[in-house]
Amino acid sequence: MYNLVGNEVYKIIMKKRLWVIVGILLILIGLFAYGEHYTRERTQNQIAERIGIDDVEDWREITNQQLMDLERRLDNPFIPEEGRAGIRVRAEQLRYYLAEDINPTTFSAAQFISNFMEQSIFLFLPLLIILLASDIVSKEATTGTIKLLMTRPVPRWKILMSKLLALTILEMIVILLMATIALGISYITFGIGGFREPVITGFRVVEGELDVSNIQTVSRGTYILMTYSLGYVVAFSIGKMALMVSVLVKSTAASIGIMMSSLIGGTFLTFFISDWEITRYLFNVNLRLTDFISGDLQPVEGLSLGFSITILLLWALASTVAAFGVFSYKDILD
Amino acid sequence: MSVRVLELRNVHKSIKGKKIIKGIDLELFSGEVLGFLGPNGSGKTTTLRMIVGLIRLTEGEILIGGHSIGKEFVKAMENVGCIIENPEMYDYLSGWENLKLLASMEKGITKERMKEVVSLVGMVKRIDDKVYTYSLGMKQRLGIAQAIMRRPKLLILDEPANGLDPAGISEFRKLIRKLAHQESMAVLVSSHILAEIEMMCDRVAIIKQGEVVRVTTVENIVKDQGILWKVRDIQLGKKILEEEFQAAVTIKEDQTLLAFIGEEQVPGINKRFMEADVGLIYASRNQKSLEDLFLALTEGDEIV
Ligand SMILES: Nc1ncnc2c1ncn2[C@@H]1O[C@H](COP(=O)(O)OP(=O)(O)OP(=O)(O)O)[C@@H](O)[C@H]1O
Ligand SMILES: [Mg+2]
Repeated sequence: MYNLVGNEVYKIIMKKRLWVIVGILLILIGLFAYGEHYTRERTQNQIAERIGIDDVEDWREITNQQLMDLERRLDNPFIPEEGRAGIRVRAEQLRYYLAEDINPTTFSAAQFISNFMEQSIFLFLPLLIILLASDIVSKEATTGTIKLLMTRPVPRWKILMSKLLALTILEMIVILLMATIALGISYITFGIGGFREPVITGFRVVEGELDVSNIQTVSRGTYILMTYSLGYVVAFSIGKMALMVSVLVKSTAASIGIMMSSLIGGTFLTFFISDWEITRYLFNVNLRLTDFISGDLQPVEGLSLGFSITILLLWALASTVAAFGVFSYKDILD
Repeated sequence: MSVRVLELRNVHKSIKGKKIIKGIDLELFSGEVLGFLGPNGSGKTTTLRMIVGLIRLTEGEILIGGHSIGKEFVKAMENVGCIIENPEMYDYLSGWENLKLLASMEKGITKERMKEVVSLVGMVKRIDDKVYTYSLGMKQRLGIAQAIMRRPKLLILDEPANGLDPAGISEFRKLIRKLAHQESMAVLVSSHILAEIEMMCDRVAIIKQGEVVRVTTVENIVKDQGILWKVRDIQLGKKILEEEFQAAVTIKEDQTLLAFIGEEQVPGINKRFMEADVGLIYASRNQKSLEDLFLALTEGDEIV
């Protein structure tokens, strides 16, 4: 089994898919870092200009101003109730930062790293994993090398198991690559490390009100660890689903297409029918795991971190069972 | 002593409700080469795929070295080396890396053995190049190398000569005969090249529309292969052969006389032809005996 998994990892690396992923990460993280840097500077300058101070370093001033902006928007009768909830949460957070003397405007490399995962977890990360996993069986089927594998004195389930384990290892490698590349680029862009700065997590929204009873302060380093672990949960389950599709569909293009359209299509679905009970059991709705710890609002009310992780793992489990079922019994006809 | 390596018992296969294999019984013994012949779409590849467990049987049983391919897949496959249809390899790896990868999936294939098979198939010079730079024939050779690497008791080859050059075919033929007769492998080889099968095989099985219609030894085919005469006066020649030598005679499309008759009678017949002034041009052995048999058995067959 050890040999088999080694072989599968070797094949994925030799196929150079991983290099494509590294390339995409370098370009995207570079752009993201530039954009983040640029907007930060601009908003700070804008606020500073408006309140007529030269010193953009005075974060209390800036935060106060942001808070007042938000309160003014709350007075605006044209903003719908759903929007208000979000503003109220944001305002509450700012008040909390001011009270606890925590500076929310600084931007450090560490903050960039966790932001990057928060922004990638629901679309970009799944896409990378789909890119990695979609051809893992289907490519062998299209090129015919599946016949080589299946005519060894090795039972079929072991062959699929080795592919599954190799994929699980590579999902981890993708997460580590994301973290390292983000660290490298953000260090060059932002300079400051900021791994020890405190982060407040545990905000929750219950019926449009901010629930601060579970608030915890952790270091940024710990927070990064938390977000990337959640990223791994997403990578893990998306990978297993892509593997299943790769077993079911012979063509790699079709298998990537199916995964991408269900990922993106499902996200659209949540916009339109977010109050339909069943949507919360779709995997797409449950991908934004980091929002639970960062305190952003969820698209569907009533989700919790535990619930979402359970749903994702159930999808992974069901996909794995289906993949093994089909793979062990199917006829290799061409 | 030869042992039974492969046994097909009443094997059936339906794909999407269509009966493709309709009850095949076949045996293969160690040390023999069996040619598997049949027109396009007759079910050769389908049968070979069932033997190596790529597709399941609808009915019947296949035993390799006494182990059922369905129930004891691993034990059965330990005895098998195969190429099914095209010799696909991982083209982003080198030939050697391919062999290494496949060898690592089972026990007992040493590096020495791998080197040995590489030189057996004449790939020593190119084995470290990536497979995508290989020609079809080179891929075929690599395919043969991976198939014989584990010293299988049963070697299954689906159109292995496909893509090989004349020298390659001749080497390949020698290799197969050597493996069978010296290492007592049982070899099952399908092919369209009848002359090839005739030179390489000990027995042939002819399959038509999913059924084996004839299993016979090549020796037998060659023995009653018949003698051909090219003469000026065909009718007179035919009459002499039939009346004086009691031979069954057919006139072939190229206006030659074909008679199934013992070789020892040929000098006498030729002498009679001279005397009767039939105009004898030449007499020869019928070289296309297998083709004649094949066409006779599969005649008028539409691809279904
Ligand atoms: N995937 C499939 N679905 C349906 N029918 C199939 C499939 N694959 C093969 N067949 C049918 O099975 C029959 C036997 O095909 P097979 O490939 O075994 O023939 P073959 O003897 O190897 O032919 P060839 O000499 O052309 O290689 C054909 O009639 C073919 O149409
Ligand atoms: Mg065929």
